[in-house]
Amino acid sequence: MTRVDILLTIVLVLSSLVLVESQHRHRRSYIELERAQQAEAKLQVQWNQLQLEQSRLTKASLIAEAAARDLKMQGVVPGSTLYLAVGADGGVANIRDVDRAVRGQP
Amino acid sequence: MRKPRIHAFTPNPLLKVQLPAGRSRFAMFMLSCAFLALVGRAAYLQIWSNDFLQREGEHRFMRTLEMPATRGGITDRNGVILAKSLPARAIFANPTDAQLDANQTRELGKLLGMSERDLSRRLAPENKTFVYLKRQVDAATAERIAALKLPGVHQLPEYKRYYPDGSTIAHVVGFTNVEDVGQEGIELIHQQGLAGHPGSRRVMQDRMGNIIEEVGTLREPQDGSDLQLSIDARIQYHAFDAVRDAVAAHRAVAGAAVVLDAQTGEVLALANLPTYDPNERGALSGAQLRNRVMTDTFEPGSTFKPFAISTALEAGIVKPTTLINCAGKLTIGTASIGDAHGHGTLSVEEVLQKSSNIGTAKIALQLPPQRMWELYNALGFGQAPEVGFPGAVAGRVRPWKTWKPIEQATMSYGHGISVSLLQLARAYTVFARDGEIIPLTFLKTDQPVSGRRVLSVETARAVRHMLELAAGPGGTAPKAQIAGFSVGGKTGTAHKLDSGRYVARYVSSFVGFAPASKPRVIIAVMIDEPSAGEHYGGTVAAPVFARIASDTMRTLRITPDIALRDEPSAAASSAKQPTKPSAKRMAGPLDGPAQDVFPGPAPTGAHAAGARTPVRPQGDA
Repeated sequence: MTRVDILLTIVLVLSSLVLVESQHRHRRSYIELERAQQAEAKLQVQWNQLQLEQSRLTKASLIAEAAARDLKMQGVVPGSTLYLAVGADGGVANIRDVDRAVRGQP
Repeated sequence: MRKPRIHAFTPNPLLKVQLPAGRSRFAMFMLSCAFLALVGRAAYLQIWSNDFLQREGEHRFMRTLEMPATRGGITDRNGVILAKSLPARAIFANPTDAQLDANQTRELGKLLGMSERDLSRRLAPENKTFVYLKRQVDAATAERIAALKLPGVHQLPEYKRYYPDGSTIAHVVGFTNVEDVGQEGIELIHQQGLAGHPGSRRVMQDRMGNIIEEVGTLREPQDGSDLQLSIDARIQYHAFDAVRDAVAAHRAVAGAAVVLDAQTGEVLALANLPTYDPNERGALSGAQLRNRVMTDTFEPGSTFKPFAISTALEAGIVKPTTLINCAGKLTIGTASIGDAHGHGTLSVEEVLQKSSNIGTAKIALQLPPQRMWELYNALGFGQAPEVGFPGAVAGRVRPWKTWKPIEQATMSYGHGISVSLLQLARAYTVFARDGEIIPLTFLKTDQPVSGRRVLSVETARAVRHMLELAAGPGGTAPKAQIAGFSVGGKTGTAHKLDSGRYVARYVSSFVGFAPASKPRVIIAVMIDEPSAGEHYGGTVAAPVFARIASDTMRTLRITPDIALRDEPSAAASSAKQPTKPSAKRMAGPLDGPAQDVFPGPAPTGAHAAGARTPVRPQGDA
């Protein structure tokens, strides 16, 4: 009877220690989780910031301005656009046809 | 065995004193009382004050944390961000604690963009315990302020709303106030859905402030839902740019344009001038804030003529070929109606093409007033459009019973009636959609829209043809022409009313659609008080229409229709070349492989040489 008591006491003590240890581990991993979530939120904010920045930088007015000023580009007008027929297979027209058309040859 | 040790007590006289038994009992009683008191106290703490103590204990390690929620973003139909919230900080101070030296004040002032004097004035300890120094400070600046570790200067989290497209689209999107609550436009009308609802949770914290356990979520945070508008930022830019240039060129007071998708009823662009920057709302004036497309009404003038004429066609009173004498002046009672340019006898078709007031009035006077009113009503005039936008006005159409003949006549050509540009644009869907009118929306939709039939297909097509003529060389708006596409539309030039009298100030307008063969978009343009010499809709508003239409056709990648049609309109004669009807594609950069592929009708020819002959429209018509 006494031996069983001693055994049970040892088991109880061990189990208590393991409980304390696992509780501790749980708290530490929870802290880590919390930190990761905070980092996620921070990255989310950064992502939003970058999206916003992208929208700001790709504004049509900015691009049009830069294209006209720096690259000396012009807006597309239908008069300077070439319309090509597409073949029955829906294939892209031969680039030589495009070339010929630009030079005004049949 | 050892003898047991005998303890010899030192004789003490005190021990010999015999005390009365009552004293020891008394002591025993007192001790018992004290013990009972302890038991009572223990019971009190354990049983009766348990809750309170437990709570107090929890206060030492439990915290309720707010879980922030962001307001939803607003994007255009292609996902371009039009409005988005980012975390920011409100910087506040407790003036009694905030005793800053000159150096600190200077640093803080620099970061906040405030003068030292202004800052010192705010920090003056005049019984105030709380004062905002600046709100909506961006996160980076806030961190630098926090790094200064100033006494009595604290921060609160909040959100700041950014509008990357700024003034171009300010009137559609609107803006929020510092509390992130919508004040104008879409931000106001969709406040409910956009607003985020912050949540909160109970957590256990350790000595270092780390969260070690979550006890429970009291309220889940709910981010506001994102909103996708029907607006196309590219078309919006083109429309805004065109209106801005026109307002500047004609020294106009204001200008507006709206682009509708005739197939879905979506508003693709809505431009307004003057405008404002929603990011900088310091000094806003009413004129800047006014959404002239939705909340301003004007006398539409000749853009209204197609409605009276279609009523007459529908009633069978006239045919497109019926001749009307439009010479001289038309006198009704004491008033007389004239035309800007004299005409002889015109067919009904020509009445609209040349925009004859007399002709339209004569046609309208053959109609019962009720019939005209019914059409106006069916087209939505006189009722606020249900478009999901704050402040959309109804305009004014008087009940038909009160119409006098002269009023019926002037109303037929758009005077004595007031409409908004949006109503006008919407009403033109009836011509673009073969007699159906459709509801409009500011939100992107994939659902096919169901229209309501107002006119017969024949009437709508006949009027559409007339509108195509009106935008042609013999009409009032040849400048509405664009290369590659047929267009139809009607000009309007209306005198403005000033204290009940018509004055020599004008509203020039144009409402039209493109491509006329199968209308895809409806564009309405209004230029308010052009004062650089020209004021006719055909010279002021029509070119704006042409520019927007041309850019819109390109942006939406619509196949040119003029070269494809069997009978190209006379207007586009310069752009037409005989060609086989076949699918067409537009070449991209001429020295590289072609890019933008245009889906067109099923190709009819094989890779025959004829089918591949490129057609090149020559210049703008």
